Amino acid sequence: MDVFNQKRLNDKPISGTGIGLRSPHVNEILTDLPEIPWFELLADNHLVEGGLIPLQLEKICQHYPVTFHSVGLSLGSVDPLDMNYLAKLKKIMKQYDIAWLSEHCCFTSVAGFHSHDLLPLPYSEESLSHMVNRISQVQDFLGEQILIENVSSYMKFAETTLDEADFISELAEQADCLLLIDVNNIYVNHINQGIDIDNYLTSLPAERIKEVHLAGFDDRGDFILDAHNNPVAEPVWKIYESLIQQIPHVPTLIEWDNDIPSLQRILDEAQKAEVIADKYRSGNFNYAVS
Amino acid sequence: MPLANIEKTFMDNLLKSSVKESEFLTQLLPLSSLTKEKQLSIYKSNVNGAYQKVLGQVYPACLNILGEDYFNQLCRAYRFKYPSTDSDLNNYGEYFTVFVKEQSDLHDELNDFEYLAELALLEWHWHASFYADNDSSFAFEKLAKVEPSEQNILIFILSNSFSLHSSIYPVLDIWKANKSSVEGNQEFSMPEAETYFCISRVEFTPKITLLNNYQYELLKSISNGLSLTQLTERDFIAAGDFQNELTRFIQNGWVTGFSLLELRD
Ligand SMILES: [Fe+2]
Repeated sequence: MDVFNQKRLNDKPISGTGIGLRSPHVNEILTDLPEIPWFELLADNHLVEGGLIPLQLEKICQHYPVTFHSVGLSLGSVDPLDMNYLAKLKKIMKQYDIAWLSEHCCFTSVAGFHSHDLLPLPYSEESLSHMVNRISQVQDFLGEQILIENVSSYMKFAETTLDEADFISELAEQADCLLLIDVNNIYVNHINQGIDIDNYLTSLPAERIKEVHLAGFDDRGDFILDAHNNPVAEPVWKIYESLIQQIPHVPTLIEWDNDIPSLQRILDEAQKAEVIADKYRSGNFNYAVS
Repeated sequence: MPLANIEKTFMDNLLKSSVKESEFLTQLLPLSSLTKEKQLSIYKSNVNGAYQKVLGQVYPACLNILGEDYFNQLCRAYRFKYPSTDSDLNNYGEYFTVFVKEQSDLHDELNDFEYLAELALLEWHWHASFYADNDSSFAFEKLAKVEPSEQNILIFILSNSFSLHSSIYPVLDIWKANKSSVEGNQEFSMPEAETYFCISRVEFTPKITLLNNYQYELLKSISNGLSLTQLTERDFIAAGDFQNELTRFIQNGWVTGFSLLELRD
């Protein structure tokens, strides 16, 4: 399976620092076609088959390499997989040659009800085998590996027996999937849950990490919320540097979903990530909107 | 507790109004800065916030008219009454129109907003029109081949993005004044007669078109599935310019096709 994925990764060069495409910027991007190495699109927003959305997707894919990030697969749910949703994903990914799909290590729905929020799982042996099983089903159906992202969690489950990093690593190994490491989520869990960052980073299987996320959080006083509404915070940049020096050629993505600023402001964050990663590799990318 | 129970009780706490937190809280351990209750409340607030955000985007005029506090109260109650059963968040607000109607019948403070359910309906269809599936183009050649004897089984198909509306209130004016403005004009005069209009997508953008009584009744009969024969036999339809109106509906992309019903024994 790895060989197949490698071919896709080579076909669509997802490299350098991309940004999450958000609707306020779509027209500007399609008009000016700024030099941005790649985009990540929220898959759930692009499953509609009528009107403007598919046309925009087609145009973006004509000019840029694109990855899909989904929130609706609900991999951790004990409900059966939504094969309808998965079939739509597969069809659209094939149609537009989407480089890869990433999903979260969480559940979003159960008993037919949808929270539309990333709900954490206890890191237990039961959750692990359930997630391994689900990821395998998805990968078999899609015919390719998917990337699993670590999530922010504001809960400590009594059933948890494994460290988050061990859970994720074991998951990747057993399901033979790839990883998307969200550095802001590691920091959020460090502040709220006290997880050990150094230990986390050294536990991860570097060879399975195919993407890194950077985002901003919101300080709520007694906790910090993974709100994607701010620039990347200083301590998060530091963790990023520790991670990216081990894997300098792994692409990075800037996520900014709320209080969305100008495109240039997001590209400034991308440039910052690129400067850090570039210290550990050769070749740079110059970000300019026009 | 097995994973299935943890997930179920977690979700119940997020989407049901009369659930005791205690069962789920036994599954949690306190964190140094977050009590077990606080941990759960963060998720309740996240879910509520996501739902409020999407309802506010779909129903901006309702939000503007009711004000954020009251609108958010409605959103909270809506979350419990009509929890999301669809992975597509775009569909989440579908029953809000029904819910608003139910609430209007229950709460006196909504008496001043008799038009609210119709306004909500307009906003929902405006939103749904944007995301509707594309239509196939009208098969004129196929229509030419329909035998006169088949006219009694021929029914017209309306566009996926089409919806028909009527109101005795000035909902269009209210909507226009409140859909994007925070301080919309709240003074509207009642129209002299019932207003008829439809929403449909033109290329990529939803559009509202005012209709006369004849057009409205004809489109209503089409949407009710009357056959071509039944349409032409109706006195009031026969009294108008049926042919020209039908051509106009097709040109506007409102009527997008037809089908021949199987004759029942
Ligand atoms: Fe992320």
